[in-house]
Amino acid sequence: MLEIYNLTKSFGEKRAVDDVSFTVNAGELCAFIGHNGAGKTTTIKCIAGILGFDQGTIRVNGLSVEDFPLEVKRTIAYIPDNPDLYDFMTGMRFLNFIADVFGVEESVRKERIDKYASALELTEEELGTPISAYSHGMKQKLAVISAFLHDPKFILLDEPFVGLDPKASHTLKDLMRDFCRAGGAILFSTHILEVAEKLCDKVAIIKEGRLVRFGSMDEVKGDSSLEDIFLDLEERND
Amino acid sequence: MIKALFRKQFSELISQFSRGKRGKKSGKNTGLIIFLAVYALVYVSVGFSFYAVSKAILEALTPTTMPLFYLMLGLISAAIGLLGSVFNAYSTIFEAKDNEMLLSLPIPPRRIVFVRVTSLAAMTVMYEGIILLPAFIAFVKNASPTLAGAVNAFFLFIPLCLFVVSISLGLAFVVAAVARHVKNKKAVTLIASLVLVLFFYFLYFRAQSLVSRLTEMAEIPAGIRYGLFFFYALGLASTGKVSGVLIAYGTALAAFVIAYLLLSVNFLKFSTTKKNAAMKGKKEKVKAGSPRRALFLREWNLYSSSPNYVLNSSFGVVFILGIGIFAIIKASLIRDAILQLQAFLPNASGCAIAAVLVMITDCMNDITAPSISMEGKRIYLLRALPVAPMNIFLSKIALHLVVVLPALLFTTVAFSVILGADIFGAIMIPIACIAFTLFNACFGLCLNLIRPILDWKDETMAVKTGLSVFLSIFGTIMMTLAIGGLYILLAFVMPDGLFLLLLTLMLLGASWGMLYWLSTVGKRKFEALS
Repeated sequence: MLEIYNLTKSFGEKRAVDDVSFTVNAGELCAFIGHNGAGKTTTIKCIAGILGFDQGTIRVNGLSVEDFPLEVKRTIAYIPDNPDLYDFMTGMRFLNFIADVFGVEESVRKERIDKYASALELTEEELGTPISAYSHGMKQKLAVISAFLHDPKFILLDEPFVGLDPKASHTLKDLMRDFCRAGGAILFSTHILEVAEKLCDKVAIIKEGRLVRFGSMDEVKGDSSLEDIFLDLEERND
Repeated sequence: MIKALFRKQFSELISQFSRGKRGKKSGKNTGLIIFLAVYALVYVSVGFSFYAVSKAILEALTPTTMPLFYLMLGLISAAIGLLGSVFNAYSTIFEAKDNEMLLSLPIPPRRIVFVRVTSLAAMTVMYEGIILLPAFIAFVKNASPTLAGAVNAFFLFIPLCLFVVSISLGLAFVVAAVARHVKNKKAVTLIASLVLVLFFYFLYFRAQSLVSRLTEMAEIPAGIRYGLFFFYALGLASTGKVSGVLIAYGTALAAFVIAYLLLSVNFLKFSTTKKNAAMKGKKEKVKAGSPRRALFLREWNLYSSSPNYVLNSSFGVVFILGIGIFAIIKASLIRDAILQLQAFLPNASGCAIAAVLVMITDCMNDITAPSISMEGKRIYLLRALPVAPMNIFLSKIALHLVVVLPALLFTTVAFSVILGADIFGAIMIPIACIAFTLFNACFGLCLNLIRPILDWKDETMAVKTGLSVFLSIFGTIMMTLAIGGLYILLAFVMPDGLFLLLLTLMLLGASWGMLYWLSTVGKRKFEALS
């Protein structure tokens, strides 16, 4: 589903992502971990087609992000680490906007909005409220609903659990698992290593722009915990 | 502490002109240099006309009526200065995104307000200077003032600035106080700002006509001396009278202190009231539409939800409507003026002049010029969606046209009917003005793509002080002046209708060129924004 080969992205002199290569197959949930400033968000933004890159290839569902940006964007969903949504719209107007852009039929969008809003406990009144009145968690829930609205094949999530209450976090984990079971794929960044360990099939660890570990969860962590492996890698490379 | 706050505030102001390609701050000062160069050009070009006006007024005045000079110039300057601050006071003070962060630091709220007010004052002085500087030069050269009078006249920008900022702060206080108790705060801001500005301009136009009559009088009537005592005091100060200095500075300072105290005392309360927190949502329907409609509605929602954006970028609509209404009321006056014009330009039917007049006011509509900047940090949403950049650009241009064209059509059709010109000329007035509006929309969008501001702290940075906004307004004004000049040259050899047809073709050609640029270079620039 996602193929990244030799991805390199620099900001001036600083190489934010350095020759990164990894793949995520259909049905897989891949955690993307690394310390602050390691290059996670830059990589995710390159995949989402928001940020251009200097070298390498990114393919989603067999299509190059550079050559077929709109086609790729039609099949993916992206939730940033801090969802700055359109606070001049109500939640429902925002969802209608996203669904209009993706051409989701009225009956289908209604069904999906009902399903995901009810799962994440966003009421109809809350959806009718301006986003400017939303808490961080409510914005995150709305962003999640908008991500699932057009039935994407691949979802990119940057720190998706930040701001969510425990119940909503649990629901989101269920949604992510169900999505991958149905043949979708997810790449998400997180600092909560326990969640990554329990939830994911694969893990990619990035440090100072370079991929230092990648593989199935069992391959990467072996008999240790993911936290031990991560801390060990941090110290070893220092 | 206050130094650090000042440094932050003014580095924000200056950083708007030193942006990199991605709309973020860069170390280069090219933008600032361009801004200063253009600003100097504005000073020189507009300054010359105000110098000429000032000189003409001074020649008509006697030593007894000399205070009227700074009374008049003070009124004009205050009107211009008010435009520079009145629409921004509320958002600059209460809606800055770093308010909560600053309030969490050990800084007294009154200092935060003070620093924000100084940036408003700086903008006001910048606007007022365009009038006051040439007026001062004309005054010194032609009125032979005493040394005290000349020194006083030079520093009159201080009480004027304090006075104008006090009005803006007063409005900001009223809006903030009322908005806490009503649901639709945005409507309150919009209506209050419009009412205040229209009221001010109503007074201003009345005062101006009154004063223009007064230049022929031997004495200044008591009604003016007391009714416009602040502006009269400015005039007295310019003649070297200490009483004038005391009244002007005393009044301005008192107004400023009252307004500043009102805001300082209430700053914490007003700025931390969570927007729409108490608002209960209504059930809204799931409703499908086309992607193009969705993009346009998104633009409309973004525009209409921000009084700051509406007032700063489309104030020209009010003026266009005003011209139309004026033309209808004073139709005979306009026809007489055209008859007089025909003595010099036999081909003139008034159509071209009417069109240029509408175009000049249309220059104040710069809806597309801050439209990319207004996306701010939310730009990632558009970038992540499967939407071609050109469709986004077209939705921004469409919004500009939808907002401006109704008023523009009203006024141009009114002129077409009133002037009683040949059918071809009459038809060409609205067509040429529509072509100009399209040109204006494309021009503003291109400029904003070149110089976007995406990391603004409050909307004012995007809608008012950005380089693209400044260049868009100034560039189109210069262009309309050039069109006027071209008309004077060509009016001897071609009828108005033909001139407007040629102008329309040129404007459409230029618009097509800009649309092509948007679809190629503009697209790449947009794709580099994040």
